[in-house]
Amino acid sequence: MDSHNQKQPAPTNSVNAEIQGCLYAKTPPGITVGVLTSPTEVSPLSLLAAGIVGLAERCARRGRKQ
Amino acid sequence: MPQAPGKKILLIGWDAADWEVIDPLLQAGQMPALAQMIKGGLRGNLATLQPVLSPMLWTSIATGKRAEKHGIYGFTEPLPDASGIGPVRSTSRKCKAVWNILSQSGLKSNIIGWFASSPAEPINGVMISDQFLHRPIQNDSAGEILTNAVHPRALAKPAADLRVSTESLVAGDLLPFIPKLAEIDLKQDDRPLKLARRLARTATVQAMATALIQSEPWNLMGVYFDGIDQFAHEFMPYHPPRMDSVPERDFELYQDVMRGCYRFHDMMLHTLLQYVDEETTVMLISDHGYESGRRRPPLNQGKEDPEGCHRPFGIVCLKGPNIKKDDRLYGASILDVTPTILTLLGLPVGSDMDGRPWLEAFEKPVKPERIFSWEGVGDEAAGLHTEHTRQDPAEAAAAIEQLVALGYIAPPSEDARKTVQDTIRYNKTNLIRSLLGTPQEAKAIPLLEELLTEKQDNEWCLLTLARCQIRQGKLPEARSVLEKSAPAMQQEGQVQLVFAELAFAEEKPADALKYLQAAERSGGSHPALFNQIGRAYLVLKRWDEAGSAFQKSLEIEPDNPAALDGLARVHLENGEPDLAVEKSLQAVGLIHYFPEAHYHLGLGLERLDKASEAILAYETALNMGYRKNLLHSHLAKLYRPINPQKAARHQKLLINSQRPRIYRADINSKFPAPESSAPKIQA
Repeated sequence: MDSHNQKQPAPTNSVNAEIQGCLYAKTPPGITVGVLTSPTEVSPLSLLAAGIVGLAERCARRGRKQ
Repeated sequence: MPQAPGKKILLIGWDAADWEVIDPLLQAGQMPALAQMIKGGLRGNLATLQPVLSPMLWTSIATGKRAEKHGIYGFTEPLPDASGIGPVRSTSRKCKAVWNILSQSGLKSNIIGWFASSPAEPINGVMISDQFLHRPIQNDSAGEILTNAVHPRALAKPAADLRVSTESLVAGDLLPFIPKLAEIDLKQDDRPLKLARRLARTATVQAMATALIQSEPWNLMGVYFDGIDQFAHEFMPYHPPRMDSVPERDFELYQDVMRGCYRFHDMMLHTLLQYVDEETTVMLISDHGYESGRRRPPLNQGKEDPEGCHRPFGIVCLKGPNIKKDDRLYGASILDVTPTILTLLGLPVGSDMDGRPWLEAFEKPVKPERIFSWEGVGDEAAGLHTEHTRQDPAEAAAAIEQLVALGYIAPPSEDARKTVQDTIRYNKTNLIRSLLGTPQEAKAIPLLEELLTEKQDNEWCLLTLARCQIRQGKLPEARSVLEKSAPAMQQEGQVQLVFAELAFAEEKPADALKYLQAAERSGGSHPALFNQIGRAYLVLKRWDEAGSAFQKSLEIEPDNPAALDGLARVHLENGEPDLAVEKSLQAVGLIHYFPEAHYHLGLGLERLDKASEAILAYETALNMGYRKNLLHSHLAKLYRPINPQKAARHQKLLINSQRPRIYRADINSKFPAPESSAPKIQA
């Protein structure tokens, strides 16, 4: 888990973007998290719920970030 | 994926899951996977057992037996050399679990994380034990691997690689639970870290479950998640509505955690269901519920008394071929899970099991086979431990640290001998509690006397001993125990309640009422107190006052079978059989093993001229051993117009039970029989 608070706001999403299934989060203005707008994107929590398949994707994402 | 021949059951355990939290989420469409399961299957309450302690309950679930038969009495136990304590182990279990029965029957089981399952038993299948999951891991390293916690051992390393570390979680994992995470100073507030640890453990179980479900053949897949219980012990105080003891800011920050927890479990359920087909029976259960409304203990008090947060009813949801759809299951108990699994798999149910298969759940009737017992039969193939494996004291100490960190137990004393003695005493108390109110209750008396020998002023032991003696008909002994207690103690509400029970047993209801009213004046407001007051008024034939007392009980605890049955009795006396039937049905719907309620149900139905339904209710009460003479009399009368043979049988049983018995032992007695004109009996 990242030990520092998230300071940089994530890019805001289009109001009309279709929300994919995940858990919503009420956030301070300018930060939208947990709300999916891209059909190809899966939330981190959904990957945890997906079990072994999701863990593989999480590892791959960490690898792409590094 | 590899398949095992034969039927399949996916058994998912969600510790502490409660319909009271789930139902609003279902209505809001926020648990779609569970909603689909309910629509295509059955749902119901699942009655727990006392004491409400998870190792005991999950072992009862896995064996179909109460604690006295399965031998698991708590979270910890003394090490074999008494040098300290360790987590309770599978070697302490005295009977077979469902996975042993399946093993010897040639069926495969994959079991993950079950309580008291370490060391892993060499079953036909895979066992990933609870200790394997409890062991912490550092960063991304698998850490030290406990090879005896996994069977087969070859899977220990691959399973370890699937463990999710707390450090691997990202903010995006936590934000759905704590949307205002960015506003929390993590150096001052460790609650997000506690959430992360719980989330990581839960995700680890899911990773192992999804790996095994597709890679290892199975007939029974048993997956245990402790996440909801773990989350609830930390975060249920912050669940809406806000309690007075919870600061507003804390409520604002953490009010979404429990909803997030349940929704995450639904997401995991959805994933698991993708791996099974329509021919698999899916069973979702919890061992007990969890207070989420106004009966929650105040913040901090809940941590001091975790058992006090538990509700007596967990959940059950069942879906599969030959399972009724969009229907309800009534009167189910955690003891019924293994008998039901065995019936689903076409295996006989042991007559020594304390639960029953849910035959009413099947669309096409099923007649289960019975055997005397699975114990001592086919042991060589049951995957049992062949020798008592010693627990390494250092490993045990590390495991104890984990149980403390998870909040299951308080930190043990540094004095090892004292810790061992405390543990023995605690486990003995748990065993006693598990015997109370069961047909084996008399076994609690010598155990209570042992504890009182160690500590004579143990108030709980004194009162419990008196209660047991009252129920066993040992009234003078009970009075002696109560009157020996300190005078100050005798004024306490709890003690007044036991004096009331004694007065009832001595057939002095007016005295009982005086004691109960004294208990109420001393601040008592527990549903059990109002049930007893109602009972006193019933005996005194003061029906309206009885009704008021039972209503008070239901206002505190709506799911209160004794109060519902009390109201049924009031309605019967007031000439309202339809209302009596309604209340009785609610009572037996909560607790199936409630012979008195079945009898009152029968009375109501009989008065409504519903003879066949009344017969069913009376037969149920009779099979539970309730007031046989009375029931034979009712059944003889009801059967007369429809089945004269059965009527005659019940009449004969009634007459036989009323005849004085002549015992053949008297014939050879050394004491001369009194001179009488009675005919001589031929030897």
